[in-house]
Amino acid sequence: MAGCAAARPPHPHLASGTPQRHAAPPAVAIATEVVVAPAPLRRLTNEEYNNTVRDLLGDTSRPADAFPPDEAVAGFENNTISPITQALVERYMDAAEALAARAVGRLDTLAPCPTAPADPACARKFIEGFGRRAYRRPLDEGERAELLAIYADKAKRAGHARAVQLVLTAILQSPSFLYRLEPAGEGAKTRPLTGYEVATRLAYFIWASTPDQPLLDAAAAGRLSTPLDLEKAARRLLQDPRAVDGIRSFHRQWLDLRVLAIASKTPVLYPGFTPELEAAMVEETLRFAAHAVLAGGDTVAALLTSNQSFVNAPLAKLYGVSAPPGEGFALVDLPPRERAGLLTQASVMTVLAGAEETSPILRGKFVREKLLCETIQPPPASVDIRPPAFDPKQTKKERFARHRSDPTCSYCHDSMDPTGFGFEHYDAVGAWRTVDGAFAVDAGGMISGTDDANGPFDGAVELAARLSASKQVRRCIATQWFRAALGRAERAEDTAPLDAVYQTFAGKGFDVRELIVAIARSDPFRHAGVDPGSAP
Amino acid sequence: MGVGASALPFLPLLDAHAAPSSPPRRVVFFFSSNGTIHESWLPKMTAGKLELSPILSPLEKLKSKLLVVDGLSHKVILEKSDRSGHSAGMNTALTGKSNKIVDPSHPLQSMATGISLDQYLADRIGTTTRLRSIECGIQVEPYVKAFAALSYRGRLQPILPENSPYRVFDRLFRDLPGPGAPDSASAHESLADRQRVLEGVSKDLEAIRRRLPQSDRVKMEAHLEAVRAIEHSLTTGADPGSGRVCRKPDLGRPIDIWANDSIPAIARLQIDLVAMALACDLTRVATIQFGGAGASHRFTWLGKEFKTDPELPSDCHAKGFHALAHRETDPASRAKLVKINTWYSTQLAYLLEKLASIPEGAGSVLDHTAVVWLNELGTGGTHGHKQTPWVIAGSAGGYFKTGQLLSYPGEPHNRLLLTLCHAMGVATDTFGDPDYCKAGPLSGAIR
Repeated sequence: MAGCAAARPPHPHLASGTPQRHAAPPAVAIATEVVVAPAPLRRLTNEEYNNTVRDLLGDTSRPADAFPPDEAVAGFENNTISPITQALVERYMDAAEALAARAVGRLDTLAPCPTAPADPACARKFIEGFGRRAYRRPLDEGERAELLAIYADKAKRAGHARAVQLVLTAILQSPSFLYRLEPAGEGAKTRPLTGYEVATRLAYFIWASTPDQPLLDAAAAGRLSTPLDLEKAARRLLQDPRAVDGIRSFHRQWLDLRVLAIASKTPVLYPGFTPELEAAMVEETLRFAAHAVLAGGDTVAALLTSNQSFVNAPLAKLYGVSAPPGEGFALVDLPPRERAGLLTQASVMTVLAGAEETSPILRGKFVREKLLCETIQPPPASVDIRPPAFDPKQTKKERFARHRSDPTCSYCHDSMDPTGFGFEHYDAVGAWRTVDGAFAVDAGGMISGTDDANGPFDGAVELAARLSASKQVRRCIATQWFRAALGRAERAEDTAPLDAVYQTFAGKGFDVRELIVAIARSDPFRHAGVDPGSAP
Repeated sequence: MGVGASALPFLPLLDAHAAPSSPPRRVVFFFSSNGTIHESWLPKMTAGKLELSPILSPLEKLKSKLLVVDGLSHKVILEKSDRSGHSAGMNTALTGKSNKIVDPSHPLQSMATGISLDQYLADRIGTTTRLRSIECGIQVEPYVKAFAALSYRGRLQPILPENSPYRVFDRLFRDLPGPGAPDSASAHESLADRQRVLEGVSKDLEAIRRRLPQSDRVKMEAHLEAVRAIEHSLTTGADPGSGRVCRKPDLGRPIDIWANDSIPAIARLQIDLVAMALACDLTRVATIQFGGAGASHRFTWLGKEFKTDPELPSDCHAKGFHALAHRETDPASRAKLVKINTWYSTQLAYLLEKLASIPEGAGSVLDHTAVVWLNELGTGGTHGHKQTPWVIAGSAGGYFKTGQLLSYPGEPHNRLLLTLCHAMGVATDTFGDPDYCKAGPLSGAIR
């Protein structure tokens, strides 16, 4: 569309040639026909499973920690690609049996019926009530009958408690519990989600958990259909303590913090890198992020430039500040010339480093992918990827000189390495350093190819300030939340709604809570799209 | 000799009962990664006899049972894939089909577009046993399935191997029906409960499947298939057959399955479990994966020179074995790579000796099995998809002409996959991408 020529250039992550739509007018304005990209069928992630059984059953045993890891797309865990395997179905069976066995110990709160003899009317009430919470919608007649039959048959042989236990075991293995189902309606057209489907999206987006009773009641009453309904519900959910789970979950995934759990550092070089320190690093960043978001104001600036963070004693030592009193974490000031927000936190710097040394490439790639929303392709097949011999007499920049001089390398690496070198003050566990081997640290960096953040810089603190002021970065953060909310990468159809979401985010002073509300109000969030040709 | 010669004590368990008329055919895929050092791997034929190479030397006692296949390429990658490297090699190794990037924001996350040979065969030779197949891992990092999964149930349907021998043990032996199982009322009751619940789950899956768009139905179908397989396993016990000794292995003291130095101990447990699974006829198809594609294990038990990585910028992500593979031109690294691959030979030898020690019919379980050692690459340093190293051990009931080296320079590896289908009694003209099956099975391999 030639008329778009004046608009900002397409993002590199959008397929080239994708027509840029005119920016939609901000706020409401529902078009006569909404077209949104289809959302993939999601299976609960391990974190969602744990939170869900906590909220449904009060069970805090985290059974999903034993499941295989989740599958991520566009950086967020959703389990949308691979179908389930037999081994995982077996684990669901084991977990369901164990959860039900524990839950039935609290039978009086779960299904308060006379314990013997069996009581079908009471069982029916339990099945309908608990079933609605677990399936996040009312049961249909067939489902109700099936669960009642399971109850009745078992109750005859083993009594009420065992029968409730078996019903629970069945519910927790049902696809209606395990998947977030949004089946297509008649015809191959975008349709508005039902209230229950919206409730489910909203709860897993904001809480990383299942909807509560009031949200399901709002769904039942038809109070989750307009953008304003969604706004009200989103604001209520953001007030709830469970919102902290959702904010932490987003940042854990966005920043790839799960990598920390499998990171190893050479003990001779990093004797202090214990499992306790590693856990503290993750905790620091997640606390910091939740604090930044819930404090309101310009969240992006807080996330990227704050020199305050949450530390415990081992982290205080790493940062070179005095330890807070007591065992736990406290909000402290870090040296402002050394630290600025997420990019300089120990967790992120540790993830983006090898076992022995820092990784300018990974650090530069992180900026491109996580903060600028670009995708870096792996080296092409024709490239000889055997690295040059190691020479301790060379500085790090000299060792990577070929990435600059050889055009096959520099084509991609120019976007990464020069930026990554700006982080050289942080060693492989994120501690500040001024020398690297025989050389003084040279943290002179360069960022290029961005919309509005290009140029040389000295060190990550300066870079962080530059990135914080970039519209491309701020828009990318909105895009990341959008990906998390929708369980997929953005597509061409999302350009206008994403523009509108960004405008709202900017208009509200970059308060991430307002961003969350704006996404909840958007068409893609409230509709089920259909891929042409995939209707039933 | 009996299984008593094994490294582990066994708990007596199951009585032998009536033998099937002829021994079943079985297949085990034994995977190691990062390519090999070809000149140290390639054996010779001297006066019609196989003369083993340094890497294969631990298999000396078993060499009459080996068929070494040299020269095959993953042609489907070279000609049809838009991605090469460890993950592409992994995607195509047992599927013989091209791959697809499933997450554009993570271009290394590719998956196979077809069923893998182990699963294909399991659907044909493994339908009567308790488990259709078993996939065992030795520290296979599960986070990126493109690297982790060797087996695929179908297009974009990776199967992660089970890294815990304790979990493998459970899957094989837990609540095993048949002789030796507890015959209590409560055992019957809990079996009935499970069956009843799974029946309900199946109904839900059927109902939901019908309401989903075509593209999502495959997920309910895969789930349903898994539920049916579990239902089958609940009532299917062991069958020790004639002369085979079927006993639950004793796993000994628990070990940390993610400690690098546990690798030899985990390997031993997984191999013992697979051997016993075959002896008990609990499955006829198994995979044993030493890591995923591009494994980065450190082979510290082979010498202290393995404790540190070659000097390589950490930016290459490469650690341990993977880092060494990218340093294959450096003589010190090359020597280590030979040692590593030789160690894999000792592991294969342990498995083969174990299978050879279980009598069956006129021979041993090994004689009725094909154990296939494969790799995702030919060479590690250059991500070579040519000249991938293949070793078949056991004749699959007299099908293979063992004790020889065969060379098929530049031929697609699909032909070997096709040959294995025939060896298992599955008549088909193609496996994977049909374009690479036109020349048919590897005729020289067949007796």
